[in-house]
Amino acid sequence: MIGRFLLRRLRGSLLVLFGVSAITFVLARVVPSNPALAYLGAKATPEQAEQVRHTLGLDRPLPVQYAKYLGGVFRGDWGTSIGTKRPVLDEITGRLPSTLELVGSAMAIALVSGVVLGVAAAYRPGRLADHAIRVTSIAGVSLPAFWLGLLLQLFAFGWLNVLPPTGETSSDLPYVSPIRHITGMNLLDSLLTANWTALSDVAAHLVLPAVTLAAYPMGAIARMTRATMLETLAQDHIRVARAYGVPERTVRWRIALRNALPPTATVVGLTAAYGLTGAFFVEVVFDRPGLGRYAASSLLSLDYPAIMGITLLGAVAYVLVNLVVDLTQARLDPRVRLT
Amino acid sequence: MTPDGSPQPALDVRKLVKKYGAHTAVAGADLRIAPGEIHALVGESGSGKTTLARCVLGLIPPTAGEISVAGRALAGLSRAEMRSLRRRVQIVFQNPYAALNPRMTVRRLVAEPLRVAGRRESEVTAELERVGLPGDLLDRYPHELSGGQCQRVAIARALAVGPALLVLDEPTSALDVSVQAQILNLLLDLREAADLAYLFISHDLGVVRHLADRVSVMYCGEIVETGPARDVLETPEHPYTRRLLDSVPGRGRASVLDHPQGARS
Amino acid sequence: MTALVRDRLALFGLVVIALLVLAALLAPWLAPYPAQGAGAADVAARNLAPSGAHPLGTDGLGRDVLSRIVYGARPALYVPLLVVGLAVLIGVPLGLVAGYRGGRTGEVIMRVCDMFLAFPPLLLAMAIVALLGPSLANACLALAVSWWPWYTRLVQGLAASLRERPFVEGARALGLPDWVIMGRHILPNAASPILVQATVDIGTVVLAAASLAFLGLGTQPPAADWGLMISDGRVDIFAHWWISAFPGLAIFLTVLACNLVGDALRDIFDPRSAATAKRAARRSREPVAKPAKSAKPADALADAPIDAPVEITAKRTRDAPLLEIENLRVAIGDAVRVREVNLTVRPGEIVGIVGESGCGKTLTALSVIGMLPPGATAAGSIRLHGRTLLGGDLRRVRGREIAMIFQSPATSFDPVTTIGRQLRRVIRLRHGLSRAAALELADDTLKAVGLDAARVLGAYPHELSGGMLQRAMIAMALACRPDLVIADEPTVALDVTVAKEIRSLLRSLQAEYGFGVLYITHNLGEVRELCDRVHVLYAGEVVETGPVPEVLDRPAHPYTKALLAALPDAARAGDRLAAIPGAVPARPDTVEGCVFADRCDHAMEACRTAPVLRADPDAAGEDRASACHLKGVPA
Repeated sequence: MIGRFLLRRLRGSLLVLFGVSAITFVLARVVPSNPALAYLGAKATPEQAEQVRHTLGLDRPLPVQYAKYLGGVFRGDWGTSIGTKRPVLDEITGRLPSTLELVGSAMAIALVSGVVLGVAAAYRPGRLADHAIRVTSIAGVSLPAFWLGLLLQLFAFGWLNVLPPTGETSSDLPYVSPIRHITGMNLLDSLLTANWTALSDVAAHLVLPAVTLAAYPMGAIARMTRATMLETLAQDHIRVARAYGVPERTVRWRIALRNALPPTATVVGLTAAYGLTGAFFVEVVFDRPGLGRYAASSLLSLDYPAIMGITLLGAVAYVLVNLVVDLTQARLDPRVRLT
Repeated sequence: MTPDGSPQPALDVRKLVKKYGAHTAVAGADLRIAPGEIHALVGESGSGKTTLARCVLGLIPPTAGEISVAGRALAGLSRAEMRSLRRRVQIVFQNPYAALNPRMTVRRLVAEPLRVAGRRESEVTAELERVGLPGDLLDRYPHELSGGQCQRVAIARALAVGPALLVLDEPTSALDVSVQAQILNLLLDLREAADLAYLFISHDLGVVRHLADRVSVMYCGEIVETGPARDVLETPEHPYTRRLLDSVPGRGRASVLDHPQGARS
Repeated sequence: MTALVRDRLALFGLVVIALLVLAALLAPWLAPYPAQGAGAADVAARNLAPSGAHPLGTDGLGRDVLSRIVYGARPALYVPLLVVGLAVLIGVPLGLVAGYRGGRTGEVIMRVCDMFLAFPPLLLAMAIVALLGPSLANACLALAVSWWPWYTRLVQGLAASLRERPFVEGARALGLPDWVIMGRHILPNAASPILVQATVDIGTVVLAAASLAFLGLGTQPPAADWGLMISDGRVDIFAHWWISAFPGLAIFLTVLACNLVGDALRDIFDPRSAATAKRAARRSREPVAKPAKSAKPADALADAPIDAPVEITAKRTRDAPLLEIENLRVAIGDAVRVREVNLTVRPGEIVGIVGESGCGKTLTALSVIGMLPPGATAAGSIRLHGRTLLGGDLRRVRGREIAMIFQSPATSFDPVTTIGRQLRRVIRLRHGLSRAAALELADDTLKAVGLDAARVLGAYPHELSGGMLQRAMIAMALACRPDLVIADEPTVALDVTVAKEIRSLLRSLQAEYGFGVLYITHNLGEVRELCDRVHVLYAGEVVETGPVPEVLDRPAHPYTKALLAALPDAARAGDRLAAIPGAVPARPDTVEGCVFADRCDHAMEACRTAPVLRADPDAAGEDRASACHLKGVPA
């Protein structure tokens, strides 16, 4: 059954990815701004522009260009970044580990703190702690990530001077205790190679960005956990459990929390996808050489092969996250059927 | 009139089939209801009663078979013809609160079908009077009414377009006994006055015995027994009908005697 | 609106939004300095810290931060209004069509929608703006393009579910055209969720627009825009923090306000969810206060021998009632809903409580196990085996001496746990058995109620029919080996044939195991079939009680008589039924004299003036009692 589900999902996903790439492709080609000029800079002569248009294949009909692009995508040729003149795919894969590490740690922080806060709020609804947690979680989803990042830098570095403000590692780390890369993720690699100096350095650099990025998912998860816990506690079967003398402990921590998990999983998935966009801002603010910063600079310089590559990657990530969410749902809730 | 001079049946359902994918909800049902007849359709949930009713109302298209209302076939009509024919069949639902748009007042609720039927909105009060509701409820919303009052509004709405057939889908099962009696009385009065036919869906055989002229018993998508109410309820032929009759609360005191009192105290 | 004001957080949100609107409208008068253009920059006043002259300081070009924030309220207001407005205008009609009409058109709409939804909306907006060229207009356009599918999906879901609702089907049966049904019946009932979503989205779009501006993709310098201001101050954050900090605060407060108001609106519009939350809130408070109490040895029950069934059985005689309820009075708030109810259940007896909805039958039952709804208080005395239950800690009685069976089998089990685990949990609590032994008992009990134990143990509730679930519920009760089973309309959600089976099952188990049953129903037929004695409740009072055949065949109270006469079986087919005129008084506790007098054919002067009679059989020294001044109603 799972196999057939995956197959059907794959088909649907391909359709979505096809549509997404088509939208961005058409936008990239019909927009008034001229990609050839973007490639050459503003001082180019019309002859040079024509030359570049030809070499880039921009003078051919749109469907032909799109087919060529799509073919390339499947062969691993995502075009050449105008900004760096390197293959887009290389640029992306090179920066992916850093971003994954950032998003991953942020989601871990958000998940743990969000569930704990949500459960704590639902434990005694209407009390002071509940109100405080409610406000905190609403604040979490209301904070502009780039501003929160700046504030944290200001506090932790500018005023307290306890954490480094920017960068992924200290600039002298490669000389003091270089990280031997296995996965490309600094934290994981320094852990795997037992490089404790690097580990603490990398962790110190990761704390602020991860917390910044975690604010939104933390708030969303806390709100959902609280709401579903309360909703479950008002259901008939909870009344039955109490009528059969099931202790309040069990009612809350086993039955209600168990029922609250599936909706929470959905929020985790949705916000994980958000994390990818959030990383744009966090990496810019914290000056981390990840995918987000590359994306931001590509967007500004109209590096359209890079823009298309990144949107495509975003769509792939979203599709994957949704798949994981659906599989998790099916595991957590026996009523959910994979179709 | 039919060629032989007898009046057109209010409803004529022939070999009706409704399938949902592999599941057959109605498997070749036949049903005829004469003008002014109260025809009860009994059976348990999932037996296809409601699906049949929805087909009759034109809410869902049947997979096969024919449905005629007051002598006109439902199939092959244009949208506009379909809409006007639909008014010949109306429905009253089980849950009176769910049957009324919560955001409309009684006045608007009753005025809507009057407009559809090309009648004047000033007739609202008269329509309400007909179902025994005082005029001071005009500006109330459904949630401000009692269950019985809501059901009366629903009946007024259905009658306003002048139907030949009223489908009553367990109209009193959500009501208390004393209110149920009021609604059943109202339904009997209205039938007298308007020469209406009812398709009365119910599983309360007490109500069915009291109200119905004829009874059809539905089981697993098929009508397994049909006939005059007295015959079906007094001398049931199909085993399911017998089981249904045996299940009427209060009939089965005998089974209690299987466990002699001595065993208990 | 008043509800919004009552919620203090929402009030705060409203105030912030009001300030935002004021600032946007009155910017030229409110702002102390020009905010943009040639006059704004002042080289002499660059990077000034907050002071009297510049309350929020100045930026790198010497522009007053406060003035720029005030002017920045304009884009912060009209951008989200424009974007959300566009998204609603595009998304809602498409969603209505897709949800109500469905079919191929709906399919195409939702496919396109899915394509857009396969994207974090901000990422899509960023890509579109980048490709169209950075500007405020393009940012608005891109955001609207990214946001409409969310409304389509929301409305599609609402419309699809409303479409199945009886009032919409009724409207279709009237032959109303589709656009009328969508406009008059679907949209108004979908409006609240749309409004909630739009309120929250206004905040989200403020955030998104600021994000675009921050990256340089939205508003372009030198316009006054909060996102742009944060970006301006970013490089200098450690030296001149105020340049970024204050505009960020403005964004944060605006988004926070929208979220707070949106949250409050959701509670107001969805009374179900708000009520649920509040109910859960109150309910969950209840047990918190209790553990301390139950620890006290003074508690009547803490001392009682809980697990001494043998001893108790030995004490059972006809004269020692199992359950005694005396002068029970239940009030919800200040409305007294159950008044002076007297009731006894003897061991091995099935006692019925019959009455119409709202007569207090369920409240009576719930007070026995101490699970009254929030806000309800009970007074009087309830004793089990002579021990006081009312006011005591009942958690050691529930699921031990008293087991309860509820109305709705479909929702009585935890949907994400197998029946087997749920049974085992209760059994282990009750008997302290090992896992294996508990499983064995669960298996035996399920067989005893006529279920295929092997299948049911591993099944989730949604995999079983209502009848099977109610059997499983009875098995749960039975496995507790209770002395008293309280069944609250256990057959009301079931088909007649299944209901019959459930009644027969209860009857035979009762005969076999000898527990007492308190059976609550609104159906006189069920009483006749199942019960030994019955209490007829009307408006919170017992009006008549006695052995079933006597009460039902020779009713002594006019209400009992009227209720029986209203049954269709009582009249000849086709005749008018004897309906009871009038309705149950809304506040029976405010009625002087007999509560039924206003609807009674036999009402006399004394009914309204003389002290109210109670149907208390013990006081009369016999089984039979009626609360009517007339002894023996005239036929």
